[in-house]
Amino acid sequence: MTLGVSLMLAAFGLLAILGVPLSFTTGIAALIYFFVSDQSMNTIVHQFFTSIDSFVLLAVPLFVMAGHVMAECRITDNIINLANVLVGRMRGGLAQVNVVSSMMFGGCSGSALADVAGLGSVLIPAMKKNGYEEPFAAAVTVASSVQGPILPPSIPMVIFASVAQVSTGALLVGGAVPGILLGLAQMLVVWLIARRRNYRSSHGAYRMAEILHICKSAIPALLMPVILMGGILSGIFTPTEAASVAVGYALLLGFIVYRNLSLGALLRIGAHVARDSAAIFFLIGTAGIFGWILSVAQLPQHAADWIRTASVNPLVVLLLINLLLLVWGMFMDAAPAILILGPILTPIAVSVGIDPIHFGVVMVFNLMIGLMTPPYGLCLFAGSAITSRETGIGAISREIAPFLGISIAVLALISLFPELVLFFPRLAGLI
Amino acid sequence: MPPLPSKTVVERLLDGLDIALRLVLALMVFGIFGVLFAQVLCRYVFSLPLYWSEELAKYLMIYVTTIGAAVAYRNYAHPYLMIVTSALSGSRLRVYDLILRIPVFIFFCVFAYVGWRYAVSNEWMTTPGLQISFFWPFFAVPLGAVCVLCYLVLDTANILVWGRSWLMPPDADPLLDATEFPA
Repeated sequence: MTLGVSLMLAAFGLLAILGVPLSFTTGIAALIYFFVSDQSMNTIVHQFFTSIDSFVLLAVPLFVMAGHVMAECRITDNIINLANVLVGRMRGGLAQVNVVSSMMFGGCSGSALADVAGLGSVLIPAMKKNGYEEPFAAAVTVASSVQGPILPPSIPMVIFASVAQVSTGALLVGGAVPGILLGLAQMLVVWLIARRRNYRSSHGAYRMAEILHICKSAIPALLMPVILMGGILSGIFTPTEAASVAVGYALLLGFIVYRNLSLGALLRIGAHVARDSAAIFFLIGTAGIFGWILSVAQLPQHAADWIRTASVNPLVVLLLINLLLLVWGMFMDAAPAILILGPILTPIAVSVGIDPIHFGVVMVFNLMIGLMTPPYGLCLFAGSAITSRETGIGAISREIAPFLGISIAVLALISLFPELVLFFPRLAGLI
Repeated sequence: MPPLPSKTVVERLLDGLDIALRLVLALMVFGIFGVLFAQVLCRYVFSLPLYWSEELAKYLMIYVTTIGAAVAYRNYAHPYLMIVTSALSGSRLRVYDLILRIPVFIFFCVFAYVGWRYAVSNEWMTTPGLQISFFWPFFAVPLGAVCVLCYLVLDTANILVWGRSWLMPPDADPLLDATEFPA
């Protein structure tokens, strides 16, 4: 490793820990490399520009926008009512409703934080009123929210696709089975806890007229993932175009079906989307400079060669990568983690014969688990923010433990059986 | 010490800049959606594929990225690790934040200067779809860097003169201990 690369990595580690925003940290570290190695500074601008000059990545702001518009349409009540019809009569009814609502909401918005804020603000007080302890109610909300970015539409999957240069459509479709498996596994945990703590069902039988009314209100919102996936699978449009259709559909719902969207709200959403997308894209740009330097120094190739010559079992490699990502995800948000680790770990995984689509889904799944764990789980913080002051992060974390365990079990399952991820993308001819 | 004004001159300037930039950003984001939605409509409904739409959407997003980075910086929307900052509060946090701004300031000065030079040196080329000079897509880089520097300089002046800052994490209320920091 040259002096420039060593200094760059040291500066990156130091500045990141000190608290400089990660997108600037990667840029400053890259600047140090260019300064020490006396290379043309023009490469900084060129690499930054080419990293964000991507049609695939345009799906990110559009997915963020579709999610915001859907949240503004107040679809949460409709989704919760439908979930109540489907699983409300099970033991621990409202907790099951929480998990199923997250599954449906995830297919519409793709944002775990929006899930915690939107569903949590309704379901946590309702669960509390029905005799559930608040930490448990918050834990179910937080744990189930991480399904959102695993199920399509998924922003981390789009980012991984751009980093690893693989099919975005295949990654989005590949996340469907793991996301649904995670939801079903969490329902099992809820059922076991509800049996032990004697939580009751939330609702008796519905009349047919009630069921029809609830379905009529909820189904327009739930058609979103159908349109999205249908369009991508049938090859009618690219994932980026699908994202723009998703926004168009969300606007149609807001202005014509639910009629609760205003132009003022749209401007607010636009500014919000721009700010959040800019934060992701700026990191993509500076991480692009960083990644270029690493590849010029052949670091990922050296690591992959080392793994290959050591003839390490692919399962051992996957296990070690899983452990690294689980720990990394506890401290860092998914987007920066994918942008920083993706270019290094993907060649390693591919060198031992792991399919990059399978690896991408496993990586995103891992990092999503980090959203619900202390010390820096964003969803955990959001869940704690909407509970009473007495319910601290510690109490919620204790209740999250069984959900964390089952999530890791599902992660192990999808790591061991690649077909759980690859079957549908292969069936659709995406890989 | 005289009572602090409800908003300093610098804060009013920052507010104005923020509102203007947010409006521009919102319009550009809807522009991206409009262009891509039109692309799908033109292809399937009017059988008239657009050859410039992808390029326009990508260049709009580059402007959203660089200008939006400034707005995101002010709102703490860029991801960062809170290991050290969560252990600090009040005036210590403010001094610490000032020190962290030095490498950020240097980075954006270089980014603005090199970005401008790069844009000018590519002025002679034209983009394949829109047929405009490559100066315009590359100009987003120095423009965004100058926006970040504006926020940085204005807010640093606000800290040094009035002991107040809006670049603090949301849980730290700069008004609470504004008098502690030496002007």
